[in-house]
Amino acid sequence: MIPDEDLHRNAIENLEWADALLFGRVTYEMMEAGWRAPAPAGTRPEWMESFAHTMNAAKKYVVSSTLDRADWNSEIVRGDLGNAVRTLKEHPGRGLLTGGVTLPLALAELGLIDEYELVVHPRIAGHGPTLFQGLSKLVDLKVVSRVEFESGAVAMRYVPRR
Amino acid sequence: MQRTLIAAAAAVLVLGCDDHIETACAGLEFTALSTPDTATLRVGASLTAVAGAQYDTCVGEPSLAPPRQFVWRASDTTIVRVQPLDSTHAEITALRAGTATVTPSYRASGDAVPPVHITVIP
Repeated sequence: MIPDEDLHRNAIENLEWADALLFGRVTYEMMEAGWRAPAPAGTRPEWMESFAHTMNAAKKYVVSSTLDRADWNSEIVRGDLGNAVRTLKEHPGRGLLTGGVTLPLALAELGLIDEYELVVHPRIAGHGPTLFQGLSKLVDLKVVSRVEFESGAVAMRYVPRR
Repeated sequence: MQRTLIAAAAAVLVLGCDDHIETACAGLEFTALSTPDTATLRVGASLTAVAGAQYDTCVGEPSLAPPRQFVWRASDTTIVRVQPLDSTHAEITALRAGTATVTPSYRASGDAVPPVHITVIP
């Protein structure tokens, strides 16, 4: 993928729109390792700093049965995933944002995802995890928006056809 | 009103092949600083540095991260000498006063990870 300014700005808009982020442990720890600690002056471009600030400020829920504590403006979610996420969705507000590989699969399986954003990059990788691998059913989608970036990456939003 | 749950993913390539999505990734770039990220050395002194990490999360699940084998390069080899110790560590020795940047790169791909900034004082 091409982690440029456009992509980070798009991610910041998503983060700022959401009331909270919902991560699995792996993604949470990856994001914490990458963005929590301040970078030495001049080592990251300003737009990357903006992303770090936004990520740091965001409320986070971490789905994990193994984490003892999570103190990056975060709470650990335990127990039945479906019930826990339905409860979070019932809180007043605009929305929750999730990402990663394992958790979105579980949430898609439970039919709890209301919108999907896929950013397709003009690069062939030939390796890496397969998104939603193992999903037991087809999820038919309807495109609701499409934004093309300078790099040629395209962010597409879909909602499930119910 | 119920909150909306959005799943955001960055896909490098999505191939529609019957009903199977082939390759996709989710998230942004993963970065871990090299250690130390900055240091000041007197001429003749040395330190051991550990390479950080930087890769997009298409390969970002920790189990799928690039092999931690690095090639080290100094921006000015008259100021510092870099001697790899093993796959991830290198000894940096100060040769003369000035500043230099020591950058580890993945041996497999050549992609750089966050560098070590060295200031050498007399």
